[in-house]
Amino acid sequence: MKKSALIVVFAMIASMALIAEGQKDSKKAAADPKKPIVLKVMDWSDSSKALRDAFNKEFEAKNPGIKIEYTCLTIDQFKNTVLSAVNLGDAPDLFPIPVGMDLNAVVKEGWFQPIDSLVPADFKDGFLPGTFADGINVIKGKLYAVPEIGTVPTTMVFYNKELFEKAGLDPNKPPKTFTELREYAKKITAAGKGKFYGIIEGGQQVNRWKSEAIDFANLGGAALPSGEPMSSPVSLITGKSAYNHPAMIETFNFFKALASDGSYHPSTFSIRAPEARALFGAGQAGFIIQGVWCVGAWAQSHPNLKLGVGPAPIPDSGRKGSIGINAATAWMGISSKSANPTAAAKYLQAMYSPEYGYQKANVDKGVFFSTVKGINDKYISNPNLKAYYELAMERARIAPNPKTAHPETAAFYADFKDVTPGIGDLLQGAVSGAIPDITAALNELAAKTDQAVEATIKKAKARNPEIALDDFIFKWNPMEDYK
Amino acid sequence: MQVRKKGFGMAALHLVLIAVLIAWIYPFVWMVGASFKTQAELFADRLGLIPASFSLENFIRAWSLANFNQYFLNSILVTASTVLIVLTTTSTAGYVLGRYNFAGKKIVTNILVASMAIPLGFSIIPIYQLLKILHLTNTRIGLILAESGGANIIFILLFAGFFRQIPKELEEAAIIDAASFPTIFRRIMLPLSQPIIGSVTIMQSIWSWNSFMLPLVLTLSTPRLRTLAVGLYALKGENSVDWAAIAAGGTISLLPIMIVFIFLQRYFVEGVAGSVKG
Amino acid sequence: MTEISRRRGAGALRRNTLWCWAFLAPTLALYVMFNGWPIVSGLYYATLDWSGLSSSKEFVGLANFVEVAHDPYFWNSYRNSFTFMLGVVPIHLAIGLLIAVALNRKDLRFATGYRTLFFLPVVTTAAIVGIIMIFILAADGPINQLLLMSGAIKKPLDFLGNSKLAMGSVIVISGWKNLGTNIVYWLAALQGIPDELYEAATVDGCGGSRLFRHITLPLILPMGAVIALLNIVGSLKAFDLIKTMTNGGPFFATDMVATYIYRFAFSSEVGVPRIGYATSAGIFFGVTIIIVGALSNTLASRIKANSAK
Repeated sequence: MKKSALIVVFAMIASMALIAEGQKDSKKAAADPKKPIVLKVMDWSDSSKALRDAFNKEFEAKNPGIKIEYTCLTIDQFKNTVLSAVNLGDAPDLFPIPVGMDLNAVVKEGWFQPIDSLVPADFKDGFLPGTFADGINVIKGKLYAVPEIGTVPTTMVFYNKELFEKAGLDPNKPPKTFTELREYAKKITAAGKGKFYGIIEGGQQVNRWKSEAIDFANLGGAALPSGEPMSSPVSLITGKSAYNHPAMIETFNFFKALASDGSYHPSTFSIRAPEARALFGAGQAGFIIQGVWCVGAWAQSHPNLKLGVGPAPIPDSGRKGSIGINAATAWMGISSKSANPTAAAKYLQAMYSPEYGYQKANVDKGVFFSTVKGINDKYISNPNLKAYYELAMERARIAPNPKTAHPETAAFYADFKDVTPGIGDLLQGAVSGAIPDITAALNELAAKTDQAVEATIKKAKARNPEIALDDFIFKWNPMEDYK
Repeated sequence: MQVRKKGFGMAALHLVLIAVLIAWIYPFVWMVGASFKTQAELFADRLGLIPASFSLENFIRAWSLANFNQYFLNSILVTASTVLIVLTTTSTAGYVLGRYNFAGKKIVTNILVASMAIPLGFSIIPIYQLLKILHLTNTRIGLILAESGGANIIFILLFAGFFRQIPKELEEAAIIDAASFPTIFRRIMLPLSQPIIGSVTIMQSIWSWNSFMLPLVLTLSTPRLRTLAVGLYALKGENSVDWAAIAAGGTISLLPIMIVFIFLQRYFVEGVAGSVKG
Repeated sequence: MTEISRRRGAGALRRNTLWCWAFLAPTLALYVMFNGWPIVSGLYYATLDWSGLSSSKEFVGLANFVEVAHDPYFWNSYRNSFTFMLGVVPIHLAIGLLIAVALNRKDLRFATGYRTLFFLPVVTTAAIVGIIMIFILAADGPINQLLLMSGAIKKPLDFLGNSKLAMGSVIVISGWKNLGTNIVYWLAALQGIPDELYEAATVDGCGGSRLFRHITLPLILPMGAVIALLNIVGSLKAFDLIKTMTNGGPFFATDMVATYIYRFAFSSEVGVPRIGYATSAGIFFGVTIIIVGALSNTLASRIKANSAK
C-alpha cells in the first residue's frame, strides 16, 4: 500500500499537469478582443534591472493597452537562446545585437527592421553627437539599433581612502603612473599585514584582463581599438598586430610585478568581478581597476566605503596615446518579425525620453552614463561619478572605426576567427605565473593574429574585392580625436 | 564479551560518521545561514554560520524576483510527470536488456552506451526544431517530453544491471503458472527493483528540478510555463550577483527534493529479504 | 525442469522477442527524438563553418576535426578531463562504497538521517557551492588556517588560483559534491543481496571483512561495473562545478573538454562564435572515448577468455 502511494501521487500530479494545460489553452481560444498588446523585451542589462522594472511599470501606466514582458539573461544564455528564438520564429520584439555579431551580418540575416519610419524625424537629434555611425548602428542611412549607454572607458582606478591613510599615503593624491601605482600597492599590502592587500581583481574574468591590457597599452601608444566588440584586431595606425608593442610588454611586466610584489589579494584568481567588487567594498584591497557601474553598486552595498577615483595609470615610458573609444555602439533593435512594431518603437523612444524616468534614474544611481543630450550634466549627483567621467574622458579620444569608414569590411567580420588564447587569457596567465616568458608569448600572439588577419582578408576578397588591409589603417594621432 | 565489543564498534562508527558529516554539511549549513544574512554581512562575516539577525528579506526578495508563485507549481508538474515517464521507459527497457537475449539486443545496447560518450551541449537547437515540427514548443507537454528524453541511458543501465542479478528461480514459478511476459514484469520483477526505482526517482527529480537551459528555451514565449530553475537564474546576472537571495532561493527550492528523498528512504530498506525460496 | 523447457517452444521464443521490443519501444522513441536526432544534427553541424547565430553555413567537411586535432589547448583540456576522471572516480567508488556499507547496517540507528545528510551536497546549488568554496579555500579561510596552525605550511595556499593546486582542489570538491549520488547507487546495489546469504555465512562463522570480501563484493560487482561506467562517463563530461569554481583556469589549468567546447561556442572577441567547431570538438572527444571503451572491452573479454582456459 505504502510503496505504491508515491507512484499514485506522482500520477495524480502528472494528470493535473495535462489537465491544467488543456484548460489554459481553451481559455486562450476564446479570443479576448480587449487583449493588451504584449511586448517581449530581452537583454542582459542586469545592472539596471531594478530600474528597468520600474520603467516598465511606468510605461505600462502611461500606455494602457501595452504590457511589457521583460526577461534579463546573461550574455551567454542570451546567445544560446536568441538563435533558437530568431531562427525558429520565436524572437522577442526588442532585443540587442548579440555580442560578437556585426550589424551588417544581423541585418543581412533579416533579424531587425529599420526604425526610421517608426519614430519621429527628430528622434536622433535628442542624442549626443557621434551616437549614430554608419556601419555600427546605421546602414546606408537606415537606423537599426540604438546604443544603451554612453561610451566611457572602463579601466579607471578606484581606491580606498581609508587604506591610503593606513599606509601613510595622501588620500587625495591617487597614483598616476605604473611605478607610482606599484609603489602605493606595495605600501598598502605592507600596512595590511594579511588583513588587506594592495589590489584586487576578478581574476577569473578574462574580459577584464583584456580591457586592462589594451587600455593601458593604448596609453603607451599601441593604438588598438578599445571596447567590446573590438572593431579591429590590429593597430589602427599600422594595420599590424600591436600585441607585442613595447607598451604592451611594459603593461604586462607592470601587472606581473604587482603579482610578484604580493600586492594581489590572494583570492584574486578564484573570483569574478562581482565578488572582487564586494571584497573591495569590504575594505580588503586598496585598488581595483573597474568601470563606472561600480560606483552605484558600492553606494548601495557598502555606503560606508571611503571611495576615491583615480585615472588609469600611464606607462613609465610616457603617454604616447589614448584609450580609443567610439561613441556609436549597437544595442537594441526591433525584430523584423515583431507583430507590434509601432508599440515597440514607442517603448524604445520612451526609454530614452526625458519625459520618462529611466535615463535620469540610471545616471543618478551611477549605473551608466546616458547617450541622451543633457542628461549627464543635469543628473550626475554622486561626486565619484563625476570624477570618474572626467578622469576617464581625459584618458579617452575618439578613435577611427573600420566599420564606419569602409563598409566593405563587413565580409571580414563575418569570417574572422579569433586567435585563442587571446590577449586577456595571456595577461591572466602572466599574472598568475603560468607564463614564464611574456615577450615570447606576446610575439607569438602577434604573429598568429597577423596571419589570421591576412588569411581572412584573402578569403573575404572573394566576396568583396574592395576589401584590403588598408581599410584598417588610418592617419590618426592617438593623442587627439580622430576627425 | 561479544555484545560489549559490538557496542563499542557501533559507538565508534557513529563518532566517525558524525565527525565526517560536520565537515560534510558545512557548506549547506552556511547556505541556510546566508539566507538570513544581509548582503553586506555575507562578505563581512564570510564564514560565520549564525546570522546576526534572522531577517526574512532575502526569502521575500528571492520569492518575488524568481517568481516562485508561478514557477514553483510548474517545476513540480514538470518534474513529477518526467519522473513517471522516465521510470516507465527505463524500467521496461532495462528489464529486457538485462535479462533477455533477443535479436538486435547487442546493437541497441552498443548504440545506447556509445551515445553516452557524446557531449550533447548543443542539442537545444535540434530539439527545438523537432518540437516546432510537432507544434509542441511553448507547451508543457513538449517540455516534459524533452526532459524525459534526456540522458537517462544511465537509468536503463542501472535497471539492467539490477535485473540481471535477480535469480532465475523467481520467475520460473510464474512461468509454470503460465503468467504472461508483462505480468511477470509487473508482479515479480518491478517490485523487486524498488531500490533502483528509488534511485532513479531521486536522481531524475534532481535533474528535472534543476534543469535550466531546456525549460528556458522551450518556454521563451510563455513565461507562465517557466520552471523555478529558470526563475532562480534571474538572481545571478552578468554584473550584479544577489548572493543572499541566491542562498535563500537555493534553500527554499531544495526543500521539495529533500522531502522526496526522505520519503523514498523506505525503498532503500526493504530490499529482497526473504524472496529467495529454497 | 524439463516441463518448463518443453513449454518454451519456438512460439514462446518469438512471443518473447516481440515483448522485448515492445518494452524497448517507448525508450527507443524518446531516444531517437531527443538523443539520436541531436547526435545526427551534431554530426552535420561539425562539418560546418557556422557561428550558430547566422544562417550563413559553409560546408567544410572534416576541416574542423583537423583543426581540433591540431590545437594544443584541446589536447590540454583532453588531458585534464582524464586527469580529473582518474582522480574523481576512485574517490566516488571506494569511499562511496565504504559509506554505503556503513549506512546499510540494519542495526545502525539514525541511518535515514545520516543518508539524508550525506546526500545534501548533491542538492545544493552549484553556484552556491562555488562561492562558499571560495571562502573556505581562501587565504584566510579555515583550511589554510588549519594548515598554518599545524605548521604544515608557512604561507597560505591559493587552492583555486594556483595552477598546480587547482586540479586537485577541483577533484576533491567534485568528489564531495557527488559522493551522495554514489552512496545512493551503492545502497541500491547492496539492497539486492538477500539477507539469507549473510545469515547463512554468519552461522558458518564468517565475520566482518571476510563477509564483505566473499559475499558482498562478488554480488555487487555487476552493479559496481555499471556504477563505475556511470562515474567515468559523468566525470568526463563534467561542466557545472568546474565552470563555477575555476572557469577552466587559472590559464587553462583546469580546462576540461566541456569548458573548451563552451568557450568556442560562445565567446569571441572580434569575430563570431563557432558552434560548428565546438560541436566537432565534442564529437571528436566522444568518438575517441567510444574507441577507447570498445578496445578496453575487447581486451578485457580476451583476458577473461584466456584466464578461463
